[in-house]
Amino acid sequence: MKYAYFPGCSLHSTAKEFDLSTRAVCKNLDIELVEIPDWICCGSTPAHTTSELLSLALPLANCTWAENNHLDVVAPCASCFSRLKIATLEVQKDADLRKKINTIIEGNFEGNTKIFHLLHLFSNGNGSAEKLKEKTKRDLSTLKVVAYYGCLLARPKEVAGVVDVENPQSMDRILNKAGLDVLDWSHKTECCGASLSITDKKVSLRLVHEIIQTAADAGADCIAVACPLCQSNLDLQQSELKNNHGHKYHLPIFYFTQLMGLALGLETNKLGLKRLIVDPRPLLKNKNIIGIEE
Amino acid sequence: MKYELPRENDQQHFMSIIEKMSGQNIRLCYQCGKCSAGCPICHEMEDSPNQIIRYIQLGLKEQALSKNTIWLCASCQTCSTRCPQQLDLAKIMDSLRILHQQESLQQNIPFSTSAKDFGHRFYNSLLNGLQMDVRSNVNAFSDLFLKMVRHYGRQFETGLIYNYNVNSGFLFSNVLKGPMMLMKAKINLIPEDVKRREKVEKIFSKIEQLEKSEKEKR
Ligand code: SF4
Ligand code: SF4
Repeated sequence: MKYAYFPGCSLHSTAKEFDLSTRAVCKNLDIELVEIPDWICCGSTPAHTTSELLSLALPLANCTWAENNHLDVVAPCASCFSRLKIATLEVQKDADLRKKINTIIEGNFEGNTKIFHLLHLFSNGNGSAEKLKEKTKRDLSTLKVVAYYGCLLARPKEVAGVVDVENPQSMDRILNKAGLDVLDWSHKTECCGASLSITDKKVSLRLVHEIIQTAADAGADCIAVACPLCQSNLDLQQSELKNNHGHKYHLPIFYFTQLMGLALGLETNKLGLKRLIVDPRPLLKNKNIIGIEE
Repeated sequence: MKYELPRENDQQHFMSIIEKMSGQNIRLCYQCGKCSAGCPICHEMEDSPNQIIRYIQLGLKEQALSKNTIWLCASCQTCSTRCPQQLDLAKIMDSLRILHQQESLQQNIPFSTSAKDFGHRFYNSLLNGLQMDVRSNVNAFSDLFLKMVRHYGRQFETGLIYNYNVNSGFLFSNVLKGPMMLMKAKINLIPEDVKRREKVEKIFSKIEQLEKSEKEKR
């Protein structure tokens, strides 16, 4: 299996560990990722709240390369994935718009390329999930986890490709195959506040607190995410929160690929565990998942 | 609350602009309130999402554009997926923001780089902690975000953080936890070198021209 890989800006900076663990896990599961050469930023929310044309042109300038090379695109960042897929769907529906965008990007995008989020690769029945189960080397069954999807992996339905927008399952299934104890909880698809952490801290903290608290109340040791913005909101702001008893939380926020990598027995330094702000190593040592010296 | 309704023509005009921009039939909204019930941020909004839709239906442009609602909206799409009339409210929120920017109503916003204003904001931030005006923060953030992309082809967080902090008066705050992120090597000190920078600049300037001529037509 070979895909055009769109890492996006976050995976080259704040979420390098997502990039690292994605590459490591894909390699292990025989999925070949070809990074789109000289890819550019998808524009994210600032683009679609500023100019519709910009929000289509930036993603499609990247997808054109993939289409010319007959590859489908995979993006691990929920926001990049969403923008790439929405842009593709929009120009599929509207030939005039497609022409307009093609003039802007000086390319010829037809809209044939498919856009996947990384989660889809492991849950679309191509055998990766089974392979993951077969190749599992570390026992993670004592690790209680909740899967947090946030907004863009669940909504809108036709973009996210979920059966139930209120209760997506793809990440739960993968974590299950990786051998974790996946708990049910109520805040799978609640919003983390996205960039409100920058523009309105108070609101952002309230939203993050609700998610962290609910996860802790459900009995989780950690939270699995598939979006760099969700990750940094839950991870960076956690130190500012206290539970009802005045205690600080200590819930590591893993990228789901890091957990897959752990299950596959990959070395911890290949998964960027050290880079997480809430250090997951004490928890993993405690559960005898990794050695004392790691 | 009492509002003077605009004449019917003006009413229709504002609604049709938003309908055209968003591709949504705003008349379909029957004010059930489900959008607002599920909105995670409704709590902090001056007016709830369904009220904003009602303003549009009534042609109350000033009301629709002047509340913090459209700036607090996190584009989470909860409203859009739950609306029984299949209205894409998140898209409508986008359109309102875009219209606001196009019409430069943001000139009223206390965001600028003038020394007096900067001092005022800084003083305020000392007084009220991080209680800043969300509209100017969102505008500053979006604007700087896109400037970085236009210049470098990709996001350059260190530049974004620096500029945002200086511009928004968050100078001594730790909103973005820059030092910690640098320590964990989470952000780069030097922007990445994208070979297609000119291409990105071309995309931005072409769109600027297109939108300018479209706006003139309107
Ligand atoms: S959910 Fe839809 S129909 Fe109901 S108030 Fe909101 S926009 Fe109107
Ligand atoms: S998209 Fe905006 S208005 Fe709609 S539910 Fe989310 S935050 Fe509220």
